Amino acid sequence: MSVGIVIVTHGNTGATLLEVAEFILGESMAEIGFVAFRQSGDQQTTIAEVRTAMARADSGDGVLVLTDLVGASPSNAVVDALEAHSGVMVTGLNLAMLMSVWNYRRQPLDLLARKAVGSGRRGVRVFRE
Amino acid sequence: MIAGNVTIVNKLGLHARAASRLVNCASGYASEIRIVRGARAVNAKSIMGVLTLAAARGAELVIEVEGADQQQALEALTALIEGRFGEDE
Repeated sequence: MSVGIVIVTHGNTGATLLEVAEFILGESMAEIGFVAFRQSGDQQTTIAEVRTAMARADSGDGVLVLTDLVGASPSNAVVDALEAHSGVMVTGLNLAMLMSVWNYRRQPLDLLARKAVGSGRRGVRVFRE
Repeated sequence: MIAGNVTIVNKLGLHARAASRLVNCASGYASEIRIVRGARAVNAKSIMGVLTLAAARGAELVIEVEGADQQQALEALTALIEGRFGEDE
């Protein structure tokens, strides 16, 4: 089993994160879906693109959608898309979250969502000299 | 359980790609593997765990391994770190 993963971000943020994560982990993440929200675009178009990406990513084990900023248009589009296609959204995407989600994608959806939140938080630290 | 001491010797330290190689190596063994740096211990099969060690060149680590293939795992991880993760310097 493997949970489908879709990333929805402002502009190409998500594509760049994917590119860097592939470089670090040394493997292709081509099966992760990506939708870019464009300020010039129409919200209904984004919602439709998210639904399409979710349907494509879902192999029967559910879909985890990762977005960059809670309350912003990409996240709001996912909330709307979730009405048509069941899945789980986690906001606050960062590189730590993305790499962990990829590593644990064969875990059940709810557990994977908790991993995403935990790893994303673990990647945020304060360092002093 | 067996354990071994190892020092990070490559120039860039335990950076992201090096951490990924370490996790891949550790994940190839059935044993439970922990990496300890000072008071901090992490699961060697977790990329975020390994990265949060923030281990630069010179950092001294302890590798603790427990399981059927513990000897092979400890040797492989020690060789990987002492071999600078395959990096030139």
